[in-house]
Amino acid sequence: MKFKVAQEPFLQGVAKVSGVVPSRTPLTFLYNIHAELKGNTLTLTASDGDVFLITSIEVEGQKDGSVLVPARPLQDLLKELPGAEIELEISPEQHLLLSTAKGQFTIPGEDSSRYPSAPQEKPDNKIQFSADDLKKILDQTTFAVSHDELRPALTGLLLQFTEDELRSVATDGHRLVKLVKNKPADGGEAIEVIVPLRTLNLLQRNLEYSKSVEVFLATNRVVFTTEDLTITSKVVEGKFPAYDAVIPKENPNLLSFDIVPFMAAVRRVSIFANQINRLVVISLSPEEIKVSAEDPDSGRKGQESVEGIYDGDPIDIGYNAQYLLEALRHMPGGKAQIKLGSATSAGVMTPEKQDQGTDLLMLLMPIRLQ
Amino acid sequence: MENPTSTLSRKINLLSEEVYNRIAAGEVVERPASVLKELIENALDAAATEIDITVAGGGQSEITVNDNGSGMAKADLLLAFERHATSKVTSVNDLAAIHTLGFRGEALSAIASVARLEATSSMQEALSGHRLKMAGGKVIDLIETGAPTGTTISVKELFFNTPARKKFLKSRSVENSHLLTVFKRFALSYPDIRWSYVSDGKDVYRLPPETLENRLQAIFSEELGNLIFPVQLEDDGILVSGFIGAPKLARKSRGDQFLFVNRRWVQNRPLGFAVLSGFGPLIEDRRFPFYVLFIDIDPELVDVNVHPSKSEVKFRNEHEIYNIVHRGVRQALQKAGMDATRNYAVSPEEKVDPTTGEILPRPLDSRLPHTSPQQGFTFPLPQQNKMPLEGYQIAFQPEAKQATDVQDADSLRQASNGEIERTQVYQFHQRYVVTELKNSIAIIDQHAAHERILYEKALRALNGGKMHSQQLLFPRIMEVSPDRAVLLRDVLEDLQALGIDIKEFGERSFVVEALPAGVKESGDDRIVLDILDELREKGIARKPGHEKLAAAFACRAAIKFGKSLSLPEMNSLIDQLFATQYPFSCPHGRPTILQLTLGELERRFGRS
Repeated sequence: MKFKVAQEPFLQGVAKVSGVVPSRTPLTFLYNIHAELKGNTLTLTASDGDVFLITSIEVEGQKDGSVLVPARPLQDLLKELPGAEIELEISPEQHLLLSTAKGQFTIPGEDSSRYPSAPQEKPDNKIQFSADDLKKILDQTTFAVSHDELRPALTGLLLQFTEDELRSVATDGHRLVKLVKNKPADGGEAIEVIVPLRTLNLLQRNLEYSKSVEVFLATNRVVFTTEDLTITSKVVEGKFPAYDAVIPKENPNLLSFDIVPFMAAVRRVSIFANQINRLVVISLSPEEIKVSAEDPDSGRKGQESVEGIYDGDPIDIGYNAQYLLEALRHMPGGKAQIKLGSATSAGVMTPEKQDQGTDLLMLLMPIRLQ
Repeated sequence: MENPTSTLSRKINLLSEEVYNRIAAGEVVERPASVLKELIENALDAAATEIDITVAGGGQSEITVNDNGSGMAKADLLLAFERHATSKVTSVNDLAAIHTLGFRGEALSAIASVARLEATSSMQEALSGHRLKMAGGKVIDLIETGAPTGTTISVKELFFNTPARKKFLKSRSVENSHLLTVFKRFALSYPDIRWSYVSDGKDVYRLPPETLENRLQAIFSEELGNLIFPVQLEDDGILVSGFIGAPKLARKSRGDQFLFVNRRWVQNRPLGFAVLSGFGPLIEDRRFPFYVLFIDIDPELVDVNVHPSKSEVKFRNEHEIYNIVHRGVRQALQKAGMDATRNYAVSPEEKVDPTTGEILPRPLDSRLPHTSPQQGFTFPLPQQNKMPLEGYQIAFQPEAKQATDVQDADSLRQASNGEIERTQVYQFHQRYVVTELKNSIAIIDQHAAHERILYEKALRALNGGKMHSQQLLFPRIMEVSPDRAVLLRDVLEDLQALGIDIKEFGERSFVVEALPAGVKESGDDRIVLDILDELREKGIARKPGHEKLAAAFACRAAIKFGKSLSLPEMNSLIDQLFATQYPFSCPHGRPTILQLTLGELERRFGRS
């Protein structure tokens, strides 16, 4: 393998894929980037064994070939060679010989045949998104994904495509986000998959620089492609719980408020909450809306009245402050409302004004007060 | 003075056969469960394919085992209950190659000597069978009777003539759980046999002949799901097969570990350890993986005659077997996509041996200042004032005193009231919280401290205070084994007071709707099983007292070693600890805090 390339595109390509390289793994070949040259196209692949990131850059190719090269030293070196023209060649003993106008650098590489290969074919079922739309979906949902390895099905985001909708659902068993969007015009068949959180995080990082994303779905695999990056990932196996069944349909008590001041009050009061259960209590009556917290162990307590409208029976309801704040933070701005049943049933939070073609809903399970 | 010899000789009488039998019985018939074991082995040796078991009153009132095996003729029936009458060993040479399960011969006669017994047996193609009745080892009746092919042995009023032994029996429920354990071992080892098990008139198990995998699901209904992986490895004439459970099935006790050698249930610590080592770092400290493993090996290479209860075995080539088990487990995990060589729990400075999964000692050079004579950055050892070796050791003896007296308590309380500012709090090895007090360094055991906090909270809750509980969006349905179900029903109400909202949902099913808020990681309903295990380990099989339950809850819900804590969490832990009534020890009596005072430090540094 031998080629010439400018530092900037080379570094960008390496940086794009190296995010997936694990920091600690017994499978040491995963510390490498797989580089393959065909003609003038250099394809770079990195993986943690579950997710593959693949990108291609244009180079001035001289001799085809492939090699495994450790990601870290390569990236560190490229960062320190701004503006350089680089010539790269692989020695017979698989060493990477990098030369610039003034310098020569050698990084020992490895034979590329050891590297696992990403499945080449893309699943048939294809849906096209604008990068902004997909980014918004992920921003509003992934915070509720569970980290609990004991319940694998909850450790990813459910993407459920029906005839005309895309439903994205995340839950950790205490809260749930359901975001329904009209399906993009160019949508595939009905299918559902659970995409691992890590895959989505890797995708999110790259969406900043993209305009559109194609999503290819199969029951065991999902592929995201942007203009210059392909992410191939396995999906989470397991059955996502029947979430629709737990969304209350008839919650008669309605609270509406401005998100920003409400959040600020909750944040202040939560300082006084028990640091372990983070319990804040919202006391509701048509006369007053009050947020309070008390930690009997330390004797600290705080309460604050907040502006808003409440229409319903007087009710005291407890929430984990962290869950409440995270839900509020991921609402679109303006006003929100919470529909409540009882002090022990799920509250349904929705923005007062939904974005166009969107139906966002968050569920919060209360803490039972004694 | 009398001649001592003559005194002795006058008092020695020959034991009667009957008494001799009763003493021997003690060795074999320890408790009802040992009777059940002997009877089942007897049925298996008769090549039964259907075995029905009925027990009542914890096995003291009745243990009946009915089989469809080959049956016994009249003479054999009588002989069976005579000591050392066994059809299985006719010469000493036979002992070397024992393929059948019960070979000692004394078992049935021993049982007969301490109970009322009725045995009915009929051989195939025989026109009629025979019924033998015995009491305390004496034949009462032997009649000809019509009976289906096979043998039914019914043991009633166990230990009726040995009150001393009877006294040592535990409560019914404890004996019941021993009986079930024995049954489970056989049911697992013989999935090809149809079994039924009725206890006090209730159907506990009805198991059709099935594959081992299905049998496992039937016996341990507790969410085995797709969390078990097959093991199959043959090497050098030794076959290891069976199933291991995913790491997440690992329990706090050894209850769900079954090892069989040539289909015989055995205990063998080294092999248990071989399994554990196969899991490597996938299993947390002090958790025990689930496994049901079978080792098939030439009987010549095993010695099962180590103990009368025949559960200990010795292998001629233990090391080799250890190795195969270890590899078998590792292979099974690998096939299941789990890499036991990968360590998820080590800190970044630690390195893991890629082949064994063990944490390697840190290389020396990372612990010492980097020295390189060429560069002149050496740290010469003091030649003149070399620290005496003794002094060095003394300095590292954990001599710090435990804060127990009132003065310390007050100073610590002040500290937590903010009168003395906690300037520094940090976590050491994800185990200990270290903080600075006015004149000392306090080292807090994070688990013991949290245990104390939760214990007092739990006690208050059980005495009417109640705990906050986080409602679950998706109620969890738990299937538990029959013995756990019994205990669980007993503690149901108390668990609710502890913030675990759990209700009955069928014979062996329960539904969890809420968990204590902030007590454990989200949605971890393992806490319920953990509490049950803890109680069972302490020998509690029925309704525990509040203290016991609170202690079990606190122990299992408290943060563990290895959990990293944020600064607010550590501060809260310290605050809450000092708000408790007895902050200085956990409910088990171990200290929660050690103090290293300034004076102590000065003394050790030779300043005073």
